Amino acid sequence: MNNMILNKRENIFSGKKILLTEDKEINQLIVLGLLSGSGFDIDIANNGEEAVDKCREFNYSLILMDIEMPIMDGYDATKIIREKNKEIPIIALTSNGTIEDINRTKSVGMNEHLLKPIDLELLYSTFSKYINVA
Amino acid sequence: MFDENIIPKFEHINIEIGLKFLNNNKKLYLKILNSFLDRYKDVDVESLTGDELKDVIHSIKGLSATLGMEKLNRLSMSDLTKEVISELSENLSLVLDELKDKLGSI
Repeated sequence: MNNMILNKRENIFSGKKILLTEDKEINQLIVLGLLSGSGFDIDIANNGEEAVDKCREFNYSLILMDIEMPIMDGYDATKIIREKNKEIPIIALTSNGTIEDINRTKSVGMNEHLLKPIDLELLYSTFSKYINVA
Repeated sequence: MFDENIIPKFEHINIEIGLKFLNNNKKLYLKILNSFLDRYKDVDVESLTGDELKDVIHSIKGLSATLGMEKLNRLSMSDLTKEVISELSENLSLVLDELKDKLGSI
């Protein structure tokens, strides 16, 4: 990981609001810590149902979606969000990485499948692929 | 006095791996190690069954990989036989004891 490269990205996503859907507080802390210099305004949903509700309320630039969560998992949440919104980028962020897992995230309408532990370079390049910055 | 720039030396945690995945952010790494200790210090893995066991092992799998707990990660990715769960529980105790000892001393 090259801190110098990441430091050049300080606040490049300023003004962009994204949704982190993650049920484990410790994993929320990791993502918030890693993205602390990104400029993102980050909302948190603690499960898929909360993600669906928040997407009805706010217009996010992107959603990071865990898969295994209580109440509603990431697959079902994505299916419901996609009924109303075909455009929003939804990125799976999970420790499940089999071919079956990847195929399933794509089949429900997620755009990318990223693995934990988080590769920060890959995460930033994925943001850049889906979010326009001035 | 807590020093957020000093990571203690661990026997059961590879801090090079942990720092790599946390963008070499020592303050964040220590914060997450403390959170890991808080989360699992009262968990008796061998007493868990079904979905509860699956959920805890799934979480440990991701966190141990991120934090550099290599043996714990290998065990969490294995088939969960009684022997593996026992060994995982034992290794988790070693990791937690070390965190209690080392994080309490900085």
